[in-house]
Amino acid sequence: MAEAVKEKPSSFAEVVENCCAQLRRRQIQGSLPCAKRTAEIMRALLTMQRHPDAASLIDDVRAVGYKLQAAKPVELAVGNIVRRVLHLIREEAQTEKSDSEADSNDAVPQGKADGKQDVMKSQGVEHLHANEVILTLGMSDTTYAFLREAARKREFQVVVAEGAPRYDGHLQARKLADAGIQVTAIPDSAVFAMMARANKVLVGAHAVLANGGAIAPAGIHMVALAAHKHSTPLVVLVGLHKLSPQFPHDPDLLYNDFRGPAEVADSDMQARGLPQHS
Amino acid sequence: MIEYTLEWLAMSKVEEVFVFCCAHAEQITDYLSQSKWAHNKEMVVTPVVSTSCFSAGEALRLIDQKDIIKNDFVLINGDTVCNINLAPIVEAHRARRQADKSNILTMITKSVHQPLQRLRLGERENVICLDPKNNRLLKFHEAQQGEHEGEGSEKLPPLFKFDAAFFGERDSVQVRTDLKDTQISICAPEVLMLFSDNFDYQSLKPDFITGVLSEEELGNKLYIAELGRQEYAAHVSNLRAYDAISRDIIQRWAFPLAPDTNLLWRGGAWGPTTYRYARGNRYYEQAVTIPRTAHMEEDVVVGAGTSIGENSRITQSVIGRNCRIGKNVDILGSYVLENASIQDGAVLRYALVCDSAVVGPSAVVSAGAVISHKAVIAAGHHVPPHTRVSLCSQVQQEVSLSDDELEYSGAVTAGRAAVGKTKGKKAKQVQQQQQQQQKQQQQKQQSRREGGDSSSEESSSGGGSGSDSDGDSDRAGPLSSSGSEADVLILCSGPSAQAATAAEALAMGHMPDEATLAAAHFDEAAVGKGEQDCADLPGDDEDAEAGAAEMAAAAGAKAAESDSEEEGEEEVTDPESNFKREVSETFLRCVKLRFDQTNAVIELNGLKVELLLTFEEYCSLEGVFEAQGENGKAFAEIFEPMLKIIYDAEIVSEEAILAWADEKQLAEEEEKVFVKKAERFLQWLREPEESSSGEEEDSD
Repeated sequence: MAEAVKEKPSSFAEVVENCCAQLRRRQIQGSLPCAKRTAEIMRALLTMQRHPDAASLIDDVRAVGYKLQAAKPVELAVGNIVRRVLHLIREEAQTEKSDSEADSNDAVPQGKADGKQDVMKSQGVEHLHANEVILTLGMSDTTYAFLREAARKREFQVVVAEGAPRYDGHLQARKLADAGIQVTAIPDSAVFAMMARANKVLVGAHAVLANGGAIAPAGIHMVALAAHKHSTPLVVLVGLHKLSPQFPHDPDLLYNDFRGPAEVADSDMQARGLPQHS
Repeated sequence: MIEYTLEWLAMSKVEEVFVFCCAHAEQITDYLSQSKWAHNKEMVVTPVVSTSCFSAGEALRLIDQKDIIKNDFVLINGDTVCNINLAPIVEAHRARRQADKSNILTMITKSVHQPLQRLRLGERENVICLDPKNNRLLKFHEAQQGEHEGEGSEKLPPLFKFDAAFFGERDSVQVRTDLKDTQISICAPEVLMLFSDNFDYQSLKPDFITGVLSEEELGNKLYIAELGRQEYAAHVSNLRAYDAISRDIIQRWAFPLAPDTNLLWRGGAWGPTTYRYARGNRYYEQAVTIPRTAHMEEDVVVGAGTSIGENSRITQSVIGRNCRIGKNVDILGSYVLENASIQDGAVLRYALVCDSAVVGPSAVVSAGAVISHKAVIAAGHHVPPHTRVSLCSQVQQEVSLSDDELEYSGAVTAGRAAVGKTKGKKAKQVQQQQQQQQKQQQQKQQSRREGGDSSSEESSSGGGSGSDSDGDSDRAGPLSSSGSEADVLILCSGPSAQAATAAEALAMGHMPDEATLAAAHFDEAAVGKGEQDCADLPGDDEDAEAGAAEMAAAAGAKAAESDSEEEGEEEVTDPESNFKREVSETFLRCVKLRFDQTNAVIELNGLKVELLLTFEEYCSLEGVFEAQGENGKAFAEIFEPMLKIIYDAEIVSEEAILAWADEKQLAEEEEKVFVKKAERFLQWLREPEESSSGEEEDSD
């Protein structure tokens, strides 16, 4: 019978396989958790296997990186973390310190989480002025954290567009309201109308590409167009793990994370359009 | 298909899985041992093999005996595709169990609003009465097939009757017709005990549930868990469901079990799947060659290494790996499995082409057709709808008359066998075959050849169709309900090699072994197991006419069909052959298939009288099945012609038949049924006739 306690998988390959399976099954939701998992795997790679020199380590990291990225190609954060690790390794190799490789890897995941917090604390206050109207769309953890931090020192209003069809704008509005910020929820169709009254637009993104383009949830493009029309400044808030060195013409890059229609439609739809075949 | 189930279980964080296999046990065990589940620490998959179970009930009883399950367990079919999160449902079940030990079963259902949805999946309508407060199942009625056929074959809606008192007993009762049973249940160990106690429970739905509901005094309670909108659950029980569920998967209803998440491990040279998504629900793997002029319409999946020809049009189809699709091919709603080749100008409509099959240029394969493993459709040939083209098997019913006419009857019975994977369903064609062989053997082969030629080439049967490792496609009653019970089976009179040796060895023709046709995905074992006819030579009874070989092959492969899970049972009568090889092979296969009757049958060799007894036994088996209202019926109808055939084939002598009839006079009523059926024939026998005298040379 299975043991109640799950033992740690013994081999590194299993760790990777586990992570790949979880990525494929969409059990790891969100860019930050994916990035953290990737960083952990990189760390495990270093601790579990001895590497005589930087070149072999780089090869291993790259191989693992390919596997992980292939598990969920739309999650660019995975690749970004792997590239960062490779960069660190190459840096270390240049300064020729073999022992500190482990340290450099540790720095990566922690650095990310902390970095975001600090940036938000310091810059949030600078970017937002008093009595401003901020427009946002949908749910973004980064935007939420940013606004929450800023609300400690500044008074402003937030207008949240609901972001159909997932309507996670409602969630964002609820959370912001709980944090004491004055929030208005509007339908997506009202974004253009409200843009005239908004001072800034703050959105999150899934990834930021090398040419400055952003991969963002559905609806952000509409917000960006409206902002452009009204010449309203639009700020995209992302963590470091979302910065990708790839260009959008890269054929390996998938722009869309398709899920299933069951979230928005009744699964009986199939039967309504039943074709004539037997 | 089992990959979907196992993957889903792994996603639900199930820790231990027992795969109960019966019919294709070695294949399943091999597959599991080579798959990634063998060394998966998170979830341990253990096959449990049994060769003697033919229903879910038996399987559960066996599991109870083996005592491998000690606490609550989830009971599912092996071909379930779903993305449910089991955790909350299991939690609720456990909470109920803790509150009251008699809450033994939670059935997971999905609410289905469109009546056509059920039809899509070939499932039956049902009525479920619940207590809305705690979702306790009060009544469960399922429409029986054919129950609602009105006069003039209109389909009347099924009629369910309830006792008014039943409503009076409770505060509120919800009567629902929109719940589709997903055949996923969470059971307590008491369920196993109940199955063991009531050893006539064959399956979960009709037997067990109605049994428990009717025995309310025992206090066992059953519950319903209803799935949310986003949760998809379906179980592949027949070809129609296979098609419908494939479409659902392609259209991502079962997310994350969509092709492009590449969750499923597949073996072979290409390793795990590498599908990528393109707009319009198109999924392509790597190394796929699609020219610019080809039209890939919506809902298409193309496997690795496949090349599509120019100007072809592919719509709503699944093409496997390493296929070759020619130019100007039109494929709609079809499934083309690995290594198949569809040549230029062919047209496929809603067909299933199994691996390594070849569809010739400009051939047309119509709706519902199944081209089995390695079969070849000749150029320009039109495969009629709902036909199955296969290499092996086919029991063809031939009445060979003394005037050398080959009467080919394509009448096939409603024999349905369910060969379980864990608890899968499969339909087999069951046919009975009597062959006669005389000096006309050559001619016969020829005529058969002619008969078979038009649709396919001959090739050696024997092992015949392989099965797709992906799983069994199941076909059951619903397909036959689409109208044609008579499926034309074509093919192969058997290994030419065998014929050659036969000719050599005995200077007589030999009827090669033929197996009854099995539905599409079949593996060697299954075919072997399933249905094998043996060339039969009355060994000890060689008449002086060495030139005349007599052969009779009586194949009976049939299976009792049950609602969900039963395994194909097989029966081979009279394996006797000069070719020890064939015999031993057959023996092995027969032995694999449980069945005391089978064993008894095998033991009877050779002698004509015993032969008749065998036949009798067989008939009585038929009788048994007929009593169960199952496919035995079909046999019953052809019983009489069968007798005639056997008689003509000189397998059984006139006296023997008469003796048998006389014996049966004293027998019970049910056995008399067959005597009655054969009454006409017996009459004819009894009359002195000049034509029959010539055939009375058999001596025992």
